[in-house]
Amino acid sequence: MQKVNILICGHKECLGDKMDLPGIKKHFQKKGHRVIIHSNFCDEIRDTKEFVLPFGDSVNPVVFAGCSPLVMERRIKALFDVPVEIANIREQCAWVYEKSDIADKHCIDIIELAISNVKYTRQFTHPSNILSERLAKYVSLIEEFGPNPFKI
Amino acid sequence: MPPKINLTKCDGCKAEEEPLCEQVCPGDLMTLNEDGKAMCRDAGDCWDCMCCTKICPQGAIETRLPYQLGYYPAKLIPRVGTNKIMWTCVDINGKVERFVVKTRND
Amino acid sequence: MSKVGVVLCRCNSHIDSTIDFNTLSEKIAKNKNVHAVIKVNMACSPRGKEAIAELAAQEEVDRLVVAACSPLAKGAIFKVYAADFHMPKQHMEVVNLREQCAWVHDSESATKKAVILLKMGVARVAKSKDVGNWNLNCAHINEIKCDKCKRCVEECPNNAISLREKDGYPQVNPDLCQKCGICVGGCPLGVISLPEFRLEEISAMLKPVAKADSPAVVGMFCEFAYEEADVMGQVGEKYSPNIYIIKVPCTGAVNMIMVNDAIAEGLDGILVAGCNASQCQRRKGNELATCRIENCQQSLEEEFLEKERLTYISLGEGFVAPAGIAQERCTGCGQCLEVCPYGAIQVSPDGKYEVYSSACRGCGNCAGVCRPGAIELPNWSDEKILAALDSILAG
Repeated sequence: MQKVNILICGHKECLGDKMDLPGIKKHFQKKGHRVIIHSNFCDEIRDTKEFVLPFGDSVNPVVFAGCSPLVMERRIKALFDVPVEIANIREQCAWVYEKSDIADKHCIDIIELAISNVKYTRQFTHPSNILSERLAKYVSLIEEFGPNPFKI
Repeated sequence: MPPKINLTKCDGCKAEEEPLCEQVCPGDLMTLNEDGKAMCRDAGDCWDCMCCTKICPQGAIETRLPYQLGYYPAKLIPRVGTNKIMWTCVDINGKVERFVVKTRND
Repeated sequence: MSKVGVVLCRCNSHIDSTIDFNTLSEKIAKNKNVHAVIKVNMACSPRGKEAIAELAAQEEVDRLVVAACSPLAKGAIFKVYAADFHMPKQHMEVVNLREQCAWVHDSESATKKAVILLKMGVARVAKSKDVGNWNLNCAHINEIKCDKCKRCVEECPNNAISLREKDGYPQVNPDLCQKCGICVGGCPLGVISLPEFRLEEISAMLKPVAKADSPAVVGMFCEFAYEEADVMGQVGEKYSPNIYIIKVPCTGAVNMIMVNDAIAEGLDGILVAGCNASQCQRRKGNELATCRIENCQQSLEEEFLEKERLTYISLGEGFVAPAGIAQERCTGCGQCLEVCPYGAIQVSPDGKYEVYSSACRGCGNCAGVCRPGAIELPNWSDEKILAALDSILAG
């Protein structure tokens, strides 16, 4: 079975203390995956220039367990040179379950699902920035025209 | 001077029986010709109220200023927004003046 | 006078690391419509919701502006909150300060732009009207001002508008209406509105933009172009901060009355961004929009204004990985050609079916309909879905 690298963002303000992250880490380590629990991955992402790959030069695919893909799926995928799959353990786990044992179990299931998915996921391709080109051209054209004569 | 209709722009309000210019004309002068384009049926009766010019969704109608006010190429062009009208006024020397008039309070 | 409550979301410092929240809240609190400004961290979290609920429960506050992420990301969730606060959803507006401001501009210009974006949001909700009595979720025609020109009947791509026999006024069939807004854009008198897209609101949004640094360009972006602008923020690209993007359902919903308002307010440019030729999901939206814009450009020239002040662009849309057809399995039945909503499937001269990659938006309709299973979406292959099911069943 292919091994994956699992990055869990365990930001306290997001997840609270609902889930036993060290326990979950051990569960996946037993299966041979590499697991890192990050205290606040948002801090890491903010300045992409200073971003250091947490798994070094490992070529294994990455499962990011943290917030919903709606929040910043592409942003996270763009950081890595390997296929990435997001496991939503915040909105669909930590925020919906009252009891920690159910949350723990569901969290493991969600990450398992992402591990199964990531094997078929392709590498993220960086989209070309057409908007910026067009916009720069347009703005410089408008600048040439000067302000709108209706402006009082 | 009667309204001048740009036949390429006018779509006769999609060839319905009563286009917008016909509905608003206070003198009931506007109508559709055989091609389904707007036309003014009696140029002499038009008093240049510019209702049709303002309402035309295609911007196809232009009001020529009467010669007492200004010869060609003098023009007065309205552009209607939700609560204001912008006027572009061109005098016979080609000097352009623009002003915005509020038509509705909100 | 409406009382607007403004919620500024820090988004785990994704937003407030770039935008100076103190300046922002100071400036926005001066607006006469704003009653209270609160700052929360992660407005989408249960704790954030409590904070917003507290603000909404204040007696004076009757409208809310949430400045957070894109309406295409978590923004849509705030609209759902409105129902929980017993507030009509029109009275809740989401301002995109993350994808289209904090992530794409540097600190100084982002703060300036954020102030204007927030003012636009406040202006919009201040103008919004509770249309609770339109119990049907479809386009609405104000019959008092309608003069039965029937343009909406002609232009509706879904044939959802027909004339009522009794009095000849157009009426909307809510089962067919897809809220694309093409009728809104076409109405010469501007009497048609969608529940969440009214001409008056959009016109009110233009006023704050006029006060921005010149050149101030307003962008009317259709849902797909808006998504592309968001994607630029997500992948860390930058673009000019002079643009203030308004989301419209389709470029066909851009009424020339809005354009006239923008010019009257003194905006330097209006950029309408939509799809390429066949790509419009609403079928005719972009064709109608280009036609109307060409017409309006001619009038602009007659008024001695540069016609490029109003421009239509179509973006690349190249941010979605396109579907692929395995030629050896393709039987040439042509089903995919019929179901593709974006016209992305082409038949090459030698009879091969091919995907035109920049038109494809990866919706997967073709993959679903393909009997031999020759079409595959790169990230949603059959194997992947089956493996996912196995994993769920094993758990």
